[in-house]
Amino acid sequence: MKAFFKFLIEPIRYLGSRGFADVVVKFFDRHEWLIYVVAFVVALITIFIIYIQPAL
Amino acid sequence: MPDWAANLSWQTILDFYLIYVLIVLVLKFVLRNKRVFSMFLFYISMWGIFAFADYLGLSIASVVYEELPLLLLIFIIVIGAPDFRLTLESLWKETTRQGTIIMGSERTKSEIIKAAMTLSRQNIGGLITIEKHNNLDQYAQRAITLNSEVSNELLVNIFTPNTPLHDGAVIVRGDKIICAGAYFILSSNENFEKTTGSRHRAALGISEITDSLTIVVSEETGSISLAINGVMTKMKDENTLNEYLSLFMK
Repeated sequence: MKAFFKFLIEPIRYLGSRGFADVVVKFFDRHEWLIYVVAFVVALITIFIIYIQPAL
Repeated sequence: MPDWAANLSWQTILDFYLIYVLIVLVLKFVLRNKRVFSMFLFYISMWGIFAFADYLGLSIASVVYEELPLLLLIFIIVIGAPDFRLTLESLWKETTRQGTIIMGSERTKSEIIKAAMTLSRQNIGGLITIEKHNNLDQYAQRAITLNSEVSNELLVNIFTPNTPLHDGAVIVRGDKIICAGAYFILSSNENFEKTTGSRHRAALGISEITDSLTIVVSEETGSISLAINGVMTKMKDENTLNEYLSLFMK
């Protein structure tokens, strides 16, 4: 039971943990140009949600 | 022409550009500090879950989703303030870079080394910060202005216990001691031993947010350490100190 309740929160806890942040920060330190790619993709998704999806 | 294409115009491109720039800036900002980034990830994951719940029309989750921006504000002010401050200060490190730098002469270097060795021998605590590209005026303004030539005698005198200026750092710019009694923000580096004194933490703190070099003399052991770019290195002897200073001041 205890394990089940712990498991429910585990994905969010992991995302907010220092270990995961450490991995991501190190990755972007090595490949800084990927920040621009991620930003481009997120901006595209935002534009899609705001401008295109309502008309679909 | 498909229906969705009618929604696109030059404003869409401008909107896209502005969002893109904003996301790049936010990502660059949060990726500078692991703690800020882990908080950011936590917030984004919560926001994603509640946005999805709102999309599904879940009543209670929708109320939380509407309040999330307020939660973010509280989050930044209460929890994240020290980390945001540290991250903004590291941005300041780049914006305050001066084009031309004034480095001290050979005489200044040898006077600083002599003073450090004297302080070490007599177990007197000392903190000497040498400025490089990043201007340290904001610390100097809150300290006691000196503007005097660097000399071994003056440095030893400043750090002599029970004198008004001994508790704080001396800032050196070129061949001048611009001030004494300067206070820096202490480093919160967790990899550092918890028993580390505030003098060493101050030296590490200033080295994390500026490109200066700080010489710390321990009051307890008389050991000499150098703090530069967030790294503290213990000096074995006078020659090692000389080598480090020569590299830094050239």
